[in-house]
Amino acid sequence: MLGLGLVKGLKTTLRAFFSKPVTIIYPYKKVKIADRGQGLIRLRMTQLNPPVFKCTGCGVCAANCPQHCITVKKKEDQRQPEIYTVNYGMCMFCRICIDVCPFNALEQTQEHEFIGESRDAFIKTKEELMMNTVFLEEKESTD
Amino acid sequence: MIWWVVLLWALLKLIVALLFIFLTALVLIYMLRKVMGHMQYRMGPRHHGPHGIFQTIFDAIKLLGKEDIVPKGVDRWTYIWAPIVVFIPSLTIFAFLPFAEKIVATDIEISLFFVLAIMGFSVIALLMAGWGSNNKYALLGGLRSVAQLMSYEIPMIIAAMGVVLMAGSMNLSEIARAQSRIWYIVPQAVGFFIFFTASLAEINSTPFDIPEAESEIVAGFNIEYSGFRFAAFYLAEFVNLFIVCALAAILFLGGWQPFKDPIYGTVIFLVKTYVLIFLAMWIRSTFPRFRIDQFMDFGWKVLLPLSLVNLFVTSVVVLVVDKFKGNI
Repeated sequence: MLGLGLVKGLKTTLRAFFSKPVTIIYPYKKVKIADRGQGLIRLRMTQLNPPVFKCTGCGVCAANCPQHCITVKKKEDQRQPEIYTVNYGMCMFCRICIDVCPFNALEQTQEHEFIGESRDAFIKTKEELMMNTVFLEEKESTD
Repeated sequence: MIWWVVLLWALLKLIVALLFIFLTALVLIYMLRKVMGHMQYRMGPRHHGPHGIFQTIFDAIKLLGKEDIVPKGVDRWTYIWAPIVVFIPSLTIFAFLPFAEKIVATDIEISLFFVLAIMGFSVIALLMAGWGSNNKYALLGGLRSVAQLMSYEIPMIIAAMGVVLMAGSMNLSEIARAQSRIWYIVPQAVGFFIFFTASLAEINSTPFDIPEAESEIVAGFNIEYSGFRFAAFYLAEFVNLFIVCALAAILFLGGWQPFKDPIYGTVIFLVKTYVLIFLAMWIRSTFPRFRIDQFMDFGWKVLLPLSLVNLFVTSVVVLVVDKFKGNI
């Protein structure tokens, strides 16, 4: 019938008017991050004090990083990274570094809220990277 | 009375009217944002004050605090006067709207005629803005608004004539008084439809916002305006929304009926007006914009014949009823 579509449209908007908004008021309420939500990476440790990293400083992650945002340096005779920085101003959170690491030394966290006042503030050192503590929820593997 | 008392009294009335107009515009802008937000599963403004009620006040202050930019190459006088002229009809019409029994600033015998005549005046301001801005989009917007007003004013007035025939008066107070037994929306349902649709077109509300179609001509006539000049256009738009809804409430929903008391009458009149405003906002947030040819078609080929038929049928019925009553 002529004009029935108009009534249907009006009904739709009226139903929307009386139903709950889908808005989540962000800083006050936060969305639950999906299991595979990708945030900052974390350097895994074998010992906390003095810090011993699982990372051997081999540089595979730096070599494979598509954005070239990882810098790894180590001394000749050591099996620990001396400098390990990630420039999060450039990182695109692809997690290739985690996938390629032969020692399983990197870990995904869900920490994604970070701010800085300068470009340098986004370059995270190894001390900051080991402190990222927002973990994935532990899940039993299905394999 | 001494002349300065008269002058002071008039000035006082003007100030009250201006305050009411600005308050109404602010309330309506807030209401539109809330209604539209909720109709799109959003929330609308919510940060400043409880449920964001101070948002529009801050917005207005922000607009008033902006730099007054007059672009190079504009037709200076037309450009500067357009935002002032757009406010004059809106302000004048408030003098003739009866809010309740005896609550009306100026009660003249042909107030409906006068209101409808002045309403068409606002298009001059839009054309001035369009011409003065020296911008092709603005000019297109101005011309479109003239075309729109030309084609929609006629069915609107003819629809209002049906009510005039039934009430036997052009005085808005008389028309409201004549609806003590039955509101004219019942016998004049078609008339109400035509009047409301045409008034939505008249105030450039979506789905008839062709003069300011964002996707085609950016913002239409007000594209070059900023700061308080833009605020004037924006406020006038909402004041006009209030005016046409108030007019529809008086003509078809009985104005202040069924209350004779000034306070209850005003309250019920405002309630009716705001119901109609909600309806307009509901329509606004539901339908997409007409194309200009569809829009002209709808005006000239649907609304105009329909309003003429409505007027004819009303005249015949009124004539027959009068004959039976023995008035003729």
